[in-house]
Amino acid sequence: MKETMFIDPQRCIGCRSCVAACRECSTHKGYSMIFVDYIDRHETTATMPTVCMHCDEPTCALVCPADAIKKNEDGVVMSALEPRCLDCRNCVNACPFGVPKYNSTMHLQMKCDMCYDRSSEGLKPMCASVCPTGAISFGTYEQIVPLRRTKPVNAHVFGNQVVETKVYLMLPTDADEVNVDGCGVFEGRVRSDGQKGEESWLDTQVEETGKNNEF
Amino acid sequence: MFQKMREGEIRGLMSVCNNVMVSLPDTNKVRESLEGLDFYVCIDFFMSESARYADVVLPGTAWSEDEGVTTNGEGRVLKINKASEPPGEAKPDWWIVQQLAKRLGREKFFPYTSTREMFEELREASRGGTADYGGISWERIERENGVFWPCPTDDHPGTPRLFEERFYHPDGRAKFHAIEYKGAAEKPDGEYPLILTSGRVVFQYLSGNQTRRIKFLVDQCPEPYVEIHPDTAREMQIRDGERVKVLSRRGDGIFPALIVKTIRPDTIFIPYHWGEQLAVNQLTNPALDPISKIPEFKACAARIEKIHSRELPILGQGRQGVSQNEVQKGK
Repeated sequence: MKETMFIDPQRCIGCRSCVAACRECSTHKGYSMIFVDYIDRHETTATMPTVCMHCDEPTCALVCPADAIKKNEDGVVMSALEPRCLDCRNCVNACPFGVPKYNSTMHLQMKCDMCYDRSSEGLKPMCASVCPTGAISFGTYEQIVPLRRTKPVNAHVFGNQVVETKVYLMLPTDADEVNVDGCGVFEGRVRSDGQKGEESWLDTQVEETGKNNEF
Repeated sequence: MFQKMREGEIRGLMSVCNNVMVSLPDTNKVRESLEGLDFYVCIDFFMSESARYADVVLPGTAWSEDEGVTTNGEGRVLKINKASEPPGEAKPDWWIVQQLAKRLGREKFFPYTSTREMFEELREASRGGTADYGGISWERIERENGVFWPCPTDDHPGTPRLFEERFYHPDGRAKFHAIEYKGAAEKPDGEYPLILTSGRVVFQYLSGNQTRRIKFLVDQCPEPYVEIHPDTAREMQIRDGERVKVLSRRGDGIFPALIVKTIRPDTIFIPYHWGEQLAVNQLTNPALDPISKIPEFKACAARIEKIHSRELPILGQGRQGVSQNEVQKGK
């Protein structure tokens, strides 16, 4: 599958058509696997859709003790396999994008799988098929990118971990990656007044064990 | 119309899918109008805030329980197919109207047995008119994924874009009308210094009588709120999420504050999809635009007052827990 998804937050108008379309799909029982969030409602009406970014090395799969999350040959990270999922929620806590959700009634992790039943047969995922503004597009890199002035980015820097993804964010930037911390190299927590704050428990643990998030 | 009801000129009302107690301005006056009627028949597919004032409530059908055509904003005529049978004693609105006519001895003017026959009459009636449905048949709509009017004949392709060649004026050109700005009927003053505007949120639809019954939507937007600019909020020491009383010359309501920079400091906004004590239309001004006759939902004068929690109203079931707790604490 050469096609992938291109998420352009600038184009999102917050209509939630994608959420409605996602919920209509019978494969996940009326729950939406896409999330549309206000970025900061106090400052702006801007919204952004979040789908699974389909990481090259999916953290959700790496932390799964039951090996229930599989990436297939098309690079699509699938929902947890129902017979294997242990309800441990490691994936829910580990995903850097906050995508997998734990469904407590069904005792199952569920996440966006790029509508693999549709996309593997050349159909657009439900969300991309209804998005009225092109904030969510599905197609090949060659089809979508020349139509846009925004830059496709699929490397995300979280602290000292770089996550590369199958899904692209379309951003008004010259940078080749998204720096989630805003400073590239993670140098401890920075308080809003610019002073260096205390390091979190987790960061200290990572430094002491020298394992850099891979534990 | 509601003015004429209060004046006694209109004595009876039959409403079809119209929740006036939510969607019309000045709810208190609308209530007075409905209460003063001799007879009010309300046809709706869910019990609504307005239906509670009716002498007779007739169960109608939802759009998915009847078939017919609708013309959308781009002028595309669409066919709606029946997906399920109406539950219980619910009947299509057209059937109710037709039965009323029959029992009132006016059957000859309503000779229909199906929605299709009514559409065929519309085709005939609109022939040669501006919105000509003459060439549109149910089969064509299905086959062509909707047909754009005007479409006068069977072989006419429909009109996806109006006015490509000429406008309807004799010279074929459009006319610009300069209109002098007059402003709203009610302007802010010392007593009511803010402009109140009402509107919609994406999670609710119209009077909310359908969407307020869907948990998924209610979870995302359970109640109306009042958007206030941080400067205005700071002056009044209003915190985000704090419940405040909003008043106009016609009524008042208590709403949680949402403090946002996306609104002007002189303006506040409240969405309108709720009824009773949550209705922003308790406050809005029923003054009409002189030409379009649309009420001034978008601008009236209002003010905000801080409240003590003991003044919080006890509302519907969903809110009872919170409000009663607050009352019991006796703040």
